[in-house]
Amino acid sequence: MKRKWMALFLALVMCVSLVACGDDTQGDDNEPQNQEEEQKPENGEGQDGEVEPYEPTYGEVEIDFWQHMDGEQFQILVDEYMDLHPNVKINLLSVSFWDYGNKIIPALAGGTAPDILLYDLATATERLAYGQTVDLTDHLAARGFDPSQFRTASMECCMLDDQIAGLPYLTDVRILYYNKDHFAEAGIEEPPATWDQVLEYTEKLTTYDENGNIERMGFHTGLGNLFPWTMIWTYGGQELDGETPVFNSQEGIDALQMAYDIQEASGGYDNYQLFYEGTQSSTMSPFVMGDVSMIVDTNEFAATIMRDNPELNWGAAILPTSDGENNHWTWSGGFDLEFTDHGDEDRLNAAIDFGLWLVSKEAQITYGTKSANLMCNTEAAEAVAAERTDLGDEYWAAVMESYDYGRYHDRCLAYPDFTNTISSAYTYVMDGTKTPKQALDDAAEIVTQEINNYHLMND
Amino acid sequence: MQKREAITGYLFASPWLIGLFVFTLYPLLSSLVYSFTNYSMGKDFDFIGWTNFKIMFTSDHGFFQSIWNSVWYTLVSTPLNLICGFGVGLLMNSKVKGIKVFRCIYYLPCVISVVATTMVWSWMFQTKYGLLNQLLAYIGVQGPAWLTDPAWSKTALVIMGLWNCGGGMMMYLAGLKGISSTYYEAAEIDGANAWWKFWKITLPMISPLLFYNLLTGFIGGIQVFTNAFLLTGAGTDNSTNFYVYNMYTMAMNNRRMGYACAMGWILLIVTMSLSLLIWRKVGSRVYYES
Repeated sequence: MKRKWMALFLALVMCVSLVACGDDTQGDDNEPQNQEEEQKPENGEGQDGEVEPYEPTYGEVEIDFWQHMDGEQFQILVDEYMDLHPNVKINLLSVSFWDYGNKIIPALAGGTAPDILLYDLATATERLAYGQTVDLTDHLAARGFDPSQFRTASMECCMLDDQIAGLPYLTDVRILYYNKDHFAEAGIEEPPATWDQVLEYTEKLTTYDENGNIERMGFHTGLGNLFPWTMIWTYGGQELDGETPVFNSQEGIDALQMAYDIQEASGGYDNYQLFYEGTQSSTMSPFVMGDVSMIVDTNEFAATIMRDNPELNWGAAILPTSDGENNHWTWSGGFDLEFTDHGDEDRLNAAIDFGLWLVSKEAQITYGTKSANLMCNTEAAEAVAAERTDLGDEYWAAVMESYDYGRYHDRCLAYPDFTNTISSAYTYVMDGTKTPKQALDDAAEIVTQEINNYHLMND
Repeated sequence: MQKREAITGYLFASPWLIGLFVFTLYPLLSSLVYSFTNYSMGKDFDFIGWTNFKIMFTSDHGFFQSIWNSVWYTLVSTPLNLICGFGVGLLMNSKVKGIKVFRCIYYLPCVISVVATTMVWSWMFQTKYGLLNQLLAYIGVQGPAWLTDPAWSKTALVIMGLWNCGGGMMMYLAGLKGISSTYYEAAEIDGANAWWKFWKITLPMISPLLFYNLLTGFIGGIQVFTNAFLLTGAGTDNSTNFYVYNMYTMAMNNRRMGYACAMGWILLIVTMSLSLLIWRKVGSRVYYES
């Protein structure tokens, strides 16, 4: 009898599990689906498919907003918005950047995410594709939204075919920082425009102590924030063509060969490892400490230099490329505002209205001027550049030029982790285990296999 | 009255029972269901039969290496942890002045945050300036690049794991204190020396604890994750891409939650099977006084 009850209980738990997690929307197609499609008419779309202009109709409404950047700045913006809209109460939750993923990922999966959230721009379309966030297309169309106010690459990164996954908030670019004193000492007048020049300068700038250990490193692709895909882009290559890996093209091979050659010019792998480990024991960047002459890092790194070593005589330039003229691509990241639907139209509308206000020129200038972040609203970004003169003209020239060359990873829902596979290939090249061709071909094989695995699971 | 008492009893036990059902049984059974689906933390999923399991054994490029990494770690770390924990426990059982201070010192690592100790170890393992290699240099040995050399990265994590042998030490110490002195006195009368007393009295009497630590150490070893996650990631050439780490990246980086659940169940089956094997082979050699 007891066994019967136990069996019955376990069956019940299984059923609850299926009902709770299965939802009632399983279609014939296994591809990720967007729940929002079924809700389009509610968002202002008329019977004939045209979008009706939006008029806010909600009264008192309370929404939740989670973010992981500058909590103080966001509180100022939230307070300002609530003053302008006394019927909207916004509960702001600021979470540490490092803990944010652990909080937001389960919340999105479990349907307990806030009405509006700041999160990774590069993966916004994944969340839309899996039905975790709202497709904003019709909501924004009804509000007369103008996407051209945003940086093109960031806006495109928020698009999944013709659907809009989020509102671009802030972004970043990678630029080359160089130590002017080291350059003068080595007789170098200008920052490098090509990777060949980087190689040449690295040899000139790297110095050794009497034991042959590196005293000062000219440049290394593993320091800072360069990453192998950016190098591949600057050689004219790309990561994927649809779902086909193409990072193992000749451009990719040349890029990784150059990374290896630069390493050899700066003392080789073992010396680099020793040097790198030494940098890890310090809280300060080796460039800030004057131990590295050139480094590629994000635009935000300038604030770090100013904070940690304001005396450093530094300059900035756009990233070098293979020929110095084309492919000035730089890897961009950043954050966007996404929205979740809790079945309450008023909350959703209030959240979207608030989100649109946050990405407006004025609100973006408020945030950007204080933080010196690169905002996705182009006019705001320009205004911040004009306002924050303390970072120097050379810096802003490099940043704003790179702003137009910003590039995000190629999208691959089937295997988002393909970038780590490229990183592994880079490691194999740098430690001398494989040639660039071997490493990239092997990586391409792994990526292809993983994409095939995805289709085995989902087709 | 009996029924009433039973209801009261269940009511008192209900917080634990609810916790068991909601936080253990439900996720456990859910993961079993998900292991046969393509669940990706979205709203939809489909049942795909044994596909996840087939992929695992036929076309997952990192699956077998991650198994090897975890098995290697378990086979090396479990006995070392047993020996160190027991050895330190024996030392801490000595009657010397200030022994309580030593016991505190050895137990201290167990109450320090793993993140903090990981930071310290990352410095200690540094090739050039690390304490470990500096000590090796004193005896004329050139230390390796502990964390970046694929040949040494797993060893580094084993060494780091030994840092926590104080947890086992406390258990052994409690066990050693529980051995009646009459056994030793009788053995002394019979002319037994220290070695025979250890071999014939201490070891058998402490064997249930050794067995317990062997089993839990083995299970913990197979599930190694945190140290790698914090210190090395997948490591150079995937040398520290342990099974659970691989499972984590599949779930969190690639959104293959159904697949990760399937990996979890394989891990459960392997762990249970090997635990049963250990139980059968080693359990019969354990001496239970009762």
